[in-house]
Amino acid sequence: MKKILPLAVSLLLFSSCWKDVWVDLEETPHMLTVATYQLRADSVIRLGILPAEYDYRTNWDSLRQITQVRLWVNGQDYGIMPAEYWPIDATTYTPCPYYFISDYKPQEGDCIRIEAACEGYETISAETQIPAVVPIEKLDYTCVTDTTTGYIKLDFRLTFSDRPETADYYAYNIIPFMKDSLGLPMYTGYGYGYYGTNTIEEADPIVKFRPNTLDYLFQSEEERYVNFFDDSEISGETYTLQYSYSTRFSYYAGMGDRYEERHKLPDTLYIETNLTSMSQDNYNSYIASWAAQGFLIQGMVETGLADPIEEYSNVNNGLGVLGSSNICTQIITLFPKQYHQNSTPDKLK
Amino acid sequence: MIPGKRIYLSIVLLFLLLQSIKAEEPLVTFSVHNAPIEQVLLQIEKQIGLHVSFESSLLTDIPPVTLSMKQETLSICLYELFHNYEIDWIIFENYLILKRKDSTFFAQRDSIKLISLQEFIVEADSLRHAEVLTDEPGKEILSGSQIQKIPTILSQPDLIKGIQLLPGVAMGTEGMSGMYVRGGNNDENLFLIDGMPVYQVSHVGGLFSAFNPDAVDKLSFYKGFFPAKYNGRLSSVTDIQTKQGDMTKFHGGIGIGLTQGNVFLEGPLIKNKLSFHFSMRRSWADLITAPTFAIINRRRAKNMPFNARYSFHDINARVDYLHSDRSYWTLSLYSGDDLFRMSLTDRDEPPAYTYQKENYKVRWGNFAAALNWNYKINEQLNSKFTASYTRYLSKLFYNRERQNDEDAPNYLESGTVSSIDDGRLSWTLTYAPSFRHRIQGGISTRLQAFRPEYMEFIQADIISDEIAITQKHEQNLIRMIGNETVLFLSDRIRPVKHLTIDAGLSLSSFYLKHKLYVNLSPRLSFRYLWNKNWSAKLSYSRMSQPMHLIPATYLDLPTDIWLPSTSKVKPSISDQLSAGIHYSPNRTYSFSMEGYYKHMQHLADFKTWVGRFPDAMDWDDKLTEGTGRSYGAEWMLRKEQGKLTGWIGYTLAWADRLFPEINDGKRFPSRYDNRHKLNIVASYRFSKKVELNASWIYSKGNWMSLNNNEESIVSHLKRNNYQLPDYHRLDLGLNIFHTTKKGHTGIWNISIYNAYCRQNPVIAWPDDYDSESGQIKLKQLCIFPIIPSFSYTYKF
Repeated sequence: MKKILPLAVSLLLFSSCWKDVWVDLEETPHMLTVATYQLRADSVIRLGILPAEYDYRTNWDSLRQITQVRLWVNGQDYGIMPAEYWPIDATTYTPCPYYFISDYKPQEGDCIRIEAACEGYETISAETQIPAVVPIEKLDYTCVTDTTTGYIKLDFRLTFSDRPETADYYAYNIIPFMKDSLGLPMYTGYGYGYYGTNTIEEADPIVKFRPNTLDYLFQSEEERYVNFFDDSEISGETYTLQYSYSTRFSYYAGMGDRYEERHKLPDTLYIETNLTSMSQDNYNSYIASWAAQGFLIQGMVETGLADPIEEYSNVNNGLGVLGSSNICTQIITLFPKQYHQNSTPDKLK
Repeated sequence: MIPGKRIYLSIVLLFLLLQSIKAEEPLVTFSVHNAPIEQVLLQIEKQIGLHVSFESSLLTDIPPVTLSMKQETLSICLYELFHNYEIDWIIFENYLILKRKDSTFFAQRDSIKLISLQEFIVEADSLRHAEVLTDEPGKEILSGSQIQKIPTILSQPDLIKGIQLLPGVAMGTEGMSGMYVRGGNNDENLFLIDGMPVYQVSHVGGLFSAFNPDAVDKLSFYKGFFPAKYNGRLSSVTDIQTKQGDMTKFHGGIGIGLTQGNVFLEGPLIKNKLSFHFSMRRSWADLITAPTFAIINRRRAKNMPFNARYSFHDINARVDYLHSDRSYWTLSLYSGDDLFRMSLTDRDEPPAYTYQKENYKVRWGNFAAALNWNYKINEQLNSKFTASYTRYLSKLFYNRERQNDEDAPNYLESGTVSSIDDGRLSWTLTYAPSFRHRIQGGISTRLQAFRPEYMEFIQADIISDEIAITQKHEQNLIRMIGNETVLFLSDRIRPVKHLTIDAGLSLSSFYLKHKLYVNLSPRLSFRYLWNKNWSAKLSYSRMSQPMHLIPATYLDLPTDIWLPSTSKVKPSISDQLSAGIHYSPNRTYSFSMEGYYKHMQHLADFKTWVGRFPDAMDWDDKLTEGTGRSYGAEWMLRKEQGKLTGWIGYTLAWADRLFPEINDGKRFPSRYDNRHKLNIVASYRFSKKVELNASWIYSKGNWMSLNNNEESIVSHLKRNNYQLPDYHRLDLGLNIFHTTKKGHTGIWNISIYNAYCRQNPVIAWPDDYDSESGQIKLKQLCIFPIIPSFSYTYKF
């Protein structure tokens, strides 16, 4: 009995099981995807029209020749958009070597509509509206540093004025640029031997999308802080956005037994602050991405207990988003020592 | 005429009259020795040409009979049988009805005067099964004892799992208490306990239903035709009557199983006047885990305790007061709750010293109370007044204290609450001027306070043991007040002998946030009785539903929220047409075949790109609207008497949905579009001591949305594009009865869930993708293997 009982219990426990099967699914119909590379006020329009299932075998030249994109602005036909190739050094960052470009530079409030046809695919169409350009009226900050630990904390106060009578959607972010005598010049917050984070902490109360109780229950709250919001509570008002950024700069140095972690602030640090006003389509796209994060929904989808979230799309008969964003930027210089002057990022010159 | 002659003639005439009256009474002859009373009544029935009917518990206390009758009238015969018991009888048309002597005609168990005779027959586990005489297509009746017989997981009789075995009801995910009736969704089922609506109908994520079978007297399940008094849901109505307390003596029982225990007690508070019935069910796993964790914590590192606890309970209580021959009061209470708590403390070792203490709490359930007053105005007119209150609450709570070596200690608290407070007053009049008419009408008004997604967040610093709030955020603080008013009128007409028509109309209005919806719902049913064996039925019902529960996952979670209709989300509407025939050659067997078509409008579902859990987006902006349709046929064969009883049910059904914003606007199958479903339920009574129960289920698999990866976000999602394999399962249950010297009953139940250990895939997810062939490798998870269990119940 003593030997049988553990065996019986083990059998019971392990009889709950899983099995692997290979299944055929109905083939997904061929669809085109819209990728908005540039759609903002006072700039030419750059769009990508791609097959949803492209891969390394895609014949881009043939595809370009059979794809036609027509542009309408405020209901007026602006004709076919020609294609241009990306500069060679940029092609590694885009999935498609070309884009469709317009001569027309949209203005605030313009209603942009495109229609794209490609042999073998259903004709797609999409429409969006250019949002208002919302400048940063004032940017204040306080900075706390600890040179011993390489710690820096910045509290920002960004003031802007919302436009009345329109529904507006915003996002904000910061990009640190740093250089140091110990590392290579880099444009991002990750320097050679240095690491930090670009996470904005302690979201302003106007940011409604934030971790909920479930996120705290499953300890996934950190990935649920966001930096986008709408103007439902501040319509037509001047508002000061408050947010914080902190990081710790460290590097590994030494040789042999003396290889250790050390802390140091970089010699040069610029913070680029961006305030983006975007179309509702882009805002919905942010919401969809946020909705798919979080331990609970990811766990449920991974185990087949829930349907996955679908990316937002405003494209009829297709995928992707035709959306517009206007970005206003201000740069704060924190540590002005400059080594390698010739390597200063172009946008800072 | 000579006066004496006049008197003599009068006496003779009177004698003859009496003889003729007496001669109209049938005469009975039988001789029995220690025979069960039912057997005696069978013999009487054969001889008198009447159908004998009685309420199921009426004869249970009558011992075997020894009696001889020779050409005696029925009255004398019945007097000899029942003069020592509180049993009365009447003859009405072709029926001999036995009833309790002191119960009024409108008491819960005995409603001859209020409703047609045929319904009374159907509501009793009578000698004659009369489903053929049931007026409504798609109506099923189950008694508490029938529910107790069905073998279920962990030996826990389950009301909803019993209903899942009926034709036309898809069970959803295995082991869960979902009900998908004739292609409808799980939120389209109205559950009433003594007139109180219940919103949360399951425990442990759907593993157990929230209804304690010990408290259930009778359950009426409507899925085809809905009487005009029922409103608010599209697909089904489950009207549960709880047990009335015994007015004469005390009874009780205790049961214990692997996961829960239950107790019930009933009896008179004032004999024949005031009685009570109380039943409670509670899980007891937490009673074991609490001391277990205490032992574990003593062995863990100091100051790092961990505690977790999960429990659920149901309480049903009822008081019946027989005020007078005309007046009858009932007070019913229901409380059902799930509670999960966890607390843990974590510390890192120095020098990176971090202290963190967290508390989690999740609670969800219902509380409901109802006061019913039945008043008999006169022989033909009865009134029923109901006041009820239901509170549904789902609460998630988290708090945390944290300290690290850089910052001051801080405190964080987050809570999400979803609740409905539902108060209702209703008044129903029933007027039965003759057996050809039964007119019922009434009004009900209800005030509902909705708080779908209240969220609160507090962040604070702890300075010298005082909490200084640094951030506080609240969302959806204000409740929404909705009002629903329903007027209904119906008439059950028998224009000719074989035809019954149920014609009804329900006018409902729902008002919330400056938006008023008005809906007119006609109800029409025809029943034609060819003869005592055959009947045909045809019905039409329109139903509306001003509330929606759209699940975020395939489980019943406390995060699933009831959402009222607003200007952006209209009430759902269904139109259903049903037709069927019923055949019952004798009191043992019955056969039915029924077809239906149902069209649903304004169904709500989440947009594909929004979060499904409470967040900053207004919930009515998250929903999109579509339509649904379902159609099919159901067959059922029942055996009601003998050692072997049970039923076989088969369903052939289709159900799909059409949403412009989902699945590229193309029609897709409902998740629980199970084309074929076969149920076999059987109970074999070997002897008074041993009973074997079995149920076998077969169903085509559920549908799921499959992508070629397991990412939580995809560019393009096809809805319900993969069907899981066929599902089948055998459950067995053995009841062993024993009677103690005091006459009390003990019941051992041994159950085996999934007796042949069929590995039914419950869920599946993609594990790999072959881009060459386009095939996807799925991992299919089978959760429930063979599960033996036992329980013991003691009744006194």
